[in-house]
Amino acid sequence: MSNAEQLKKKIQYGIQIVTFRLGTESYGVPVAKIREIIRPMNTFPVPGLSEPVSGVINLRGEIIPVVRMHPVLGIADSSGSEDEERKRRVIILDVESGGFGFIVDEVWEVIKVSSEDVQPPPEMSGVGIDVEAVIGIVEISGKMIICIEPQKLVGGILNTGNLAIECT
Amino acid sequence: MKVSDYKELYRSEADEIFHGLENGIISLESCEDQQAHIDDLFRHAHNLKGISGAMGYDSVVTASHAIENFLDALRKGELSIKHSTVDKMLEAVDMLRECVTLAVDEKDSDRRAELAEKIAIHVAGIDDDDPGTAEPSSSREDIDDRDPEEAGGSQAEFREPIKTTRVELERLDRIMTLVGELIISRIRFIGQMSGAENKALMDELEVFGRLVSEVQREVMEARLVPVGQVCQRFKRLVRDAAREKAREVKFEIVGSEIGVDRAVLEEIVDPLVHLIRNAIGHGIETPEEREALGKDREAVVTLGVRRERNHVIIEVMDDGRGIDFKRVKAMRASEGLSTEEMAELSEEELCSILSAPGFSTSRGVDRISGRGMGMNIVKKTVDSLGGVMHIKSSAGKGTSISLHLPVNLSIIKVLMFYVGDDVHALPIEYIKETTRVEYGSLKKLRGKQVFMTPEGPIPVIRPWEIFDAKVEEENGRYIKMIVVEMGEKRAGIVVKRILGQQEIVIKGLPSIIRGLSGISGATILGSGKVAFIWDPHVIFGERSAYEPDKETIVLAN
Repeated sequence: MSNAEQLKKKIQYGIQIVTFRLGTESYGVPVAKIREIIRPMNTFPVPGLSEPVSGVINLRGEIIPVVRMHPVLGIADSSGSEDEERKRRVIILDVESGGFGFIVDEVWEVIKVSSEDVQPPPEMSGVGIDVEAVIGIVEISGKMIICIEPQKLVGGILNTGNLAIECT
Repeated sequence: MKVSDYKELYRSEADEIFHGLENGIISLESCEDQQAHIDDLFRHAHNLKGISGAMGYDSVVTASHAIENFLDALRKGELSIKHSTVDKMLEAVDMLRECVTLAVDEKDSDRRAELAEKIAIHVAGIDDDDPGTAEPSSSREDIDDRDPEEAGGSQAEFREPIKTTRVELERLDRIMTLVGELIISRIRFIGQMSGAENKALMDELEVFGRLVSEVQREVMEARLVPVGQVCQRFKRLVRDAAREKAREVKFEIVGSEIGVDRAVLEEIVDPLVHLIRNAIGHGIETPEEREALGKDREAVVTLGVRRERNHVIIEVMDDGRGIDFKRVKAMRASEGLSTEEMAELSEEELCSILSAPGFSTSRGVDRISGRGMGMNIVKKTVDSLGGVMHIKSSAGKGTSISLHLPVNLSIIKVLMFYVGDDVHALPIEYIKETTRVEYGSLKKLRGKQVFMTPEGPIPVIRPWEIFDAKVEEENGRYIKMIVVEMGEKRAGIVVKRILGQQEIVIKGLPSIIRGLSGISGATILGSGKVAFIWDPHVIFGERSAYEPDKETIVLAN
């Protein structure tokens, strides 16, 4: 099945997505993959791993990695003002490997989109985002929301070994 | 969970529901409190409808809905319970059971629909058929006299008494986690209590501690899986490999009942496959050769398992020709080692030669073995599990390769220390000692800092040289050091503060991080902090277990 066909199948009946903000850009993830959304909590850096993995959290006894999507998507970091900090959230996804959290600047809402609303990801290379991780693009009241699968973006980086440390 | 897991769950839940239904229906005959039983039955039918709906088994939903309706009428007193009611209800349950079985197996959807319809009609007709209300006494006799075969679905009562129970691994893991929390909580308790003089309380705490350890031990034992569960598959492997290599092999398994942590078992299957193939492919001779040597035509390959305290020893033995050490040495010699050096090779060194990637004494590569990568993988797996591999071989008599593995991977004893503000831990079995060294006494050896001991210089390593941790200033007169030992290699890790030993429950690292960073696991401390457990290999510059080697293992010298 081609990507487009898969996509069509996925969104045939419409999907629900949670929209959120990263820097000044709008993104979304399918609700079905979300376990919960939490306020940022004490994060423990993993020795030897740095950006974009900000560390792991202890979510009621489960150790979950938390990733900052800003560097992955090439988005400038937000100001860090108190107001900004207050809005920040961690979205915890259920992915194959277990829990996976990523930091967003603000969570907006849950929207239901039907197949007509979703445009397939453009065949783009210049946008700086792995097309594999893009489910589609939704236009809601003039705002373009890129619906992504964040774990794929990061999985790619981790697997290619960009983050693997060199031991001496 | 996979679809099949859900099915298994559904199947066992449905099974329970059927038992409930059957027992409930039978109790209707004799019991005074019928209302309560009807309520129970209703609940069971409703449950079945619910879980079947979740699985998308529409026919079961329809059928259980019909039964639910009937029970509802009973409950409201619109219908009365007669002698025939019980029989008919049991028949309905039998049909429902068939329907469920078919649905789970995804078979015969026509029959399923037919059954659902039949059940609905059957249940609707329960009240119509039999005019008279039965006398309880006769109906009971009736039931008791029934031929079990005829009774169909109620064989359950004729089963053996239940002595074991199946518990989902996830639940056991959860219990394990909770026990871990208990241990941590206990440690915290003791921390709070230190210095207190309430003796009675301290005594209680000690009792508490013993109980916790006991619970922990029991849960750990419960989590073990008999080795036999994976051994059976080796029979086929041996047969196929023997046939392919034209060998005659008798395969024996000893100690298959011995339990091992399932995580260990899962990891060790591939290495064992390799060792067994090796035994058949390299170890044993052809039947003709064996005859000429005065051995039985049929070779014996044994998979032996035994337990020694906290270790399990899995051994693959053959009575073949043994490892050709001359050949091993000759091959090694061609790489520049002198004969004298070769003669002094210890078992450990031989082990590392044999398990170096690409090393094979075999002249040909075939499907069974010969590429020389296998032993390397075996060694790496054993290492990553914190185990040791021993090779014994005598010419003409056979080879034995034994893997000494920890029985349990989930709870280990570690030494905890601070790196910056973070707590790190090292498995205690790799720690030789902790020591304090005068800063000024450190020497430089080929550009690297070492400290001198009677056994020779030990390189000094700082955590930030391994991980990109923050560089910490050392301004005291002394530095604290943890001396780590792995095989014949040693190193001193400079740490700021040592927290002490603790038994900890290892939490799995998310797979997205696993295997990348020289960290073998993590644990959650009483304070809620996450502490990372080092993979000691990283200290000695070997990359973590599953990554490709850049170079072969260097002989210790």
